[in-house]
Amino acid sequence: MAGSVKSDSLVLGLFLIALGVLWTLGNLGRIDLLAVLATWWPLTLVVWGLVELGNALLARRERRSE
Amino acid sequence: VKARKIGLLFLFLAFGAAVETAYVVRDHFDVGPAGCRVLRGRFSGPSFGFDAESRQPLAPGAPLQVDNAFGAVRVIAGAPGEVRITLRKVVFLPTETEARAFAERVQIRALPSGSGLRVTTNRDELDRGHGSVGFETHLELAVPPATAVEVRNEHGRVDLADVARADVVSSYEPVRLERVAGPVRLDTRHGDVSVSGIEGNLELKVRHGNVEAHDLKAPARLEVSHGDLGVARAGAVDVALQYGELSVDTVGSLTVRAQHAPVKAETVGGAADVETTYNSVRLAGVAGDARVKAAHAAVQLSRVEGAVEVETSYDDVTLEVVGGDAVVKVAHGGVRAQGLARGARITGSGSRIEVDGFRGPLEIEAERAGVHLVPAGPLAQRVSVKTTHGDIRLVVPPESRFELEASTTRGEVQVDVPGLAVKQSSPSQVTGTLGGGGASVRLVSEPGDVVVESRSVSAARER
Repeated sequence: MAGSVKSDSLVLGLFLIALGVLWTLGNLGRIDLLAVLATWWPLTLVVWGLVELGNALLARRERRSE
Repeated sequence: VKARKIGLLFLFLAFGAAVETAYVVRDHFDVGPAGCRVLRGRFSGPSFGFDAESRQPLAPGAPLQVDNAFGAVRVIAGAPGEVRITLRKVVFLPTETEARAFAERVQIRALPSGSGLRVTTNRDELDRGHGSVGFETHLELAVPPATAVEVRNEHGRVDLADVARADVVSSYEPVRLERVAGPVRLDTRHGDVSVSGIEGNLELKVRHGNVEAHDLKAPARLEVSHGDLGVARAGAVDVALQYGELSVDTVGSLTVRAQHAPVKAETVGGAADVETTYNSVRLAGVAGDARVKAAHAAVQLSRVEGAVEVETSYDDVTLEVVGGDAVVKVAHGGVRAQGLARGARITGSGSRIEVDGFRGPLEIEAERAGVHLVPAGPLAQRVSVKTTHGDIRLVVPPESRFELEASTTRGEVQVDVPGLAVKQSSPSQVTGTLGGGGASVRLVSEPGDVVVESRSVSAARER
């Protein structure tokens, strides 16, 4: 597992980056922040799920190579 | 799965819930005169209006019943022999197409009811199938002359004019009734009411709304709570009022049973009988007798042609120009009376009693109160004043005739009336006769000073 990504840290990091970008765009008047968040927030769960899946596949491949 | 991941998952879910709630609420959050409202419900957002019309025959004199909800009802005079019904449908849906499709399902229902007609809509059926769609049904009915109208409406204003009689039950919006030839019965809540030009008896019950009633030809019974009531140009008026203000102008007679309500009435053609608490009573221009019973309230009566009976506490009584007998009882309050034509019987405590310009017999009992008396003319009627812990001052006009008996238990009696034949005189008691004697004037203070002086002496001293 040494090479695997810590999924929760990765998701939290991505989430914070995304939130910061969106917030900035909202402050700049480019987007309606609340509407965008209310619509797209479930994608964080999708991204997290993909990262977990990737980690599981990576761990399996490492076990086979050993 | 690590606890950390579960915690993070809950964190994301909580974030999403908060964001979605904020998004839903933000367009439905309203702070205004009605208070703070969140999620205004199905009657918000885009709306579209559509009209429908129907004509129904109605025999002369036949009654009309209107049932509605979430919309106004307006009844006006129309052509003989038929009722013209106009339904304005307002549908709250995002697009006009959706709204039109829904509005086509909203229909007028006109059904025979006894000898008359019942008009309503199919709202109940639609609410059962499409409860989430908000729609208003505004009915306008042009009715034949001399139609008796009964209206049941909720969440919509009611306007009736030029009908034979009216029976209205409504809520949450104003009601206006004008020019009704017969009796009116009105029961409403959470809405202001205006009635005028009512020829028959008026029976009105209003909770949480202000009421204006004008030009009432027959007796009116008005029951109002949590709202102000104004009455003008009416016959006999009987009011039950709680937590509001009563204002009356030009009525035949007035009966008021109120709580926590100030009462102000001007020009009462007959008797006035008022009871209230915690707020003042002001009556001016009463042609009959006036009876006022109050608690924790000031009472002011002026220009009363008949007798006056006042009882109150913890505030003062003021009387100006009273034609009949006056009986006043005040606990913890003073009395100021001017222009009493037929004397008075006054019981007071705690504050000064002043009677200026009185005629007729006077009887006063006071506790912890001074008494000041100035007759309007020659004093020839019985005067009896007894006070504890207060001074007494009597001004004697010229040509007065009486037997004087003034005394005090602790204090001084001073008599300065030219022409008084003193029988007995000491610092604590003076008796004597003025003008050959006549009625008894008895002034007793226990304790306090007693001063009896002629008008000229009093005027000189005041100068």
